[in-house]
Amino acid sequence: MEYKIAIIGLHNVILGFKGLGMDTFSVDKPKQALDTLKDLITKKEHAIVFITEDIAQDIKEELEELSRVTLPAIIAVPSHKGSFGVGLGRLRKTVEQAVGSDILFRK
Amino acid sequence: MRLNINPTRMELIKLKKRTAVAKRGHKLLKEKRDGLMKKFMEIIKETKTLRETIDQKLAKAFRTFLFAAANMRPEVCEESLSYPSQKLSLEVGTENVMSVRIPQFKSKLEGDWLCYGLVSTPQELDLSMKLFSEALEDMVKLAQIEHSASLLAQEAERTRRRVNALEYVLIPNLEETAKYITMKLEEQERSAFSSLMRVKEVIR
Repeated sequence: MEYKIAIIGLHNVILGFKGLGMDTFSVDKPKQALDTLKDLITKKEHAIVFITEDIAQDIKEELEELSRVTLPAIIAVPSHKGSFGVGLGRLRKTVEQAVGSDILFRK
Repeated sequence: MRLNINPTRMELIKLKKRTAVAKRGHKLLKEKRDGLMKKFMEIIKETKTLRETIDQKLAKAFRTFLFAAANMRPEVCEESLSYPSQKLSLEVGTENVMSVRIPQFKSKLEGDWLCYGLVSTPQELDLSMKLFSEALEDMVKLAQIEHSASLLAQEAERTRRRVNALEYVLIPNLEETAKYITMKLEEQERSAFSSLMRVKEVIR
């Protein structure tokens, strides 16, 4: 089955991905992003949903809940402000969940 | 903790069967856990490196794009990107790892990302679009392995809990109860035996 890729973020930031053929969903507020995300999950047209970190960091807990399903994969990507480490933070949590302690990032 | 069961021979047989099943389940789940961890370890290292590169690449691309967009009037910027000539679709397959279904993405691109006139747009836009387009494949890959890692982690945690619950709670409980019942039955037998001896003595 064919799926599409979506990206959620601030309008002028994600515009570039529109030119690449992704579906862009522009939002200004985290709450709005959450609604869009839930909408996308129920529609099941997109296999990957990227969400920029500046939005994602305000709805971390909800993202955690929503990314339990097989599809879509919800992935945080850095925004124009650079990376806040939301993606890496989620990765660290994943490792802790699986292994019981943080074996990747412990220095 | 002893289970609340009547000390009869029937219950003892049932208990022994349950213990056997629990032990077998425990062994299987332990193997599942090990399998999950093996797969998890395989991809987690890769995920981390890929995540770090993407973080850098994309941050740079977004910044370049913002600068490019700032160089244009918003309407022009909007206009030049609203009709993409590149079609992006995704083929999704699933791989079954220890009954966890993890996705396999394969992106398909049609056409070129160059969908705007070169005259009305600044050069930075080309640059940023090029950066985006280079990052795209890595992003899809990252999405695949990062999501797989998180699915595996969830399942691994669940399995670990089950293994521990069986190992430290259910199986010890069953064994303790079985032991209690055996002792009780033996005790009954002894008491029956001794009273029988006594009765025999009396009627002789």
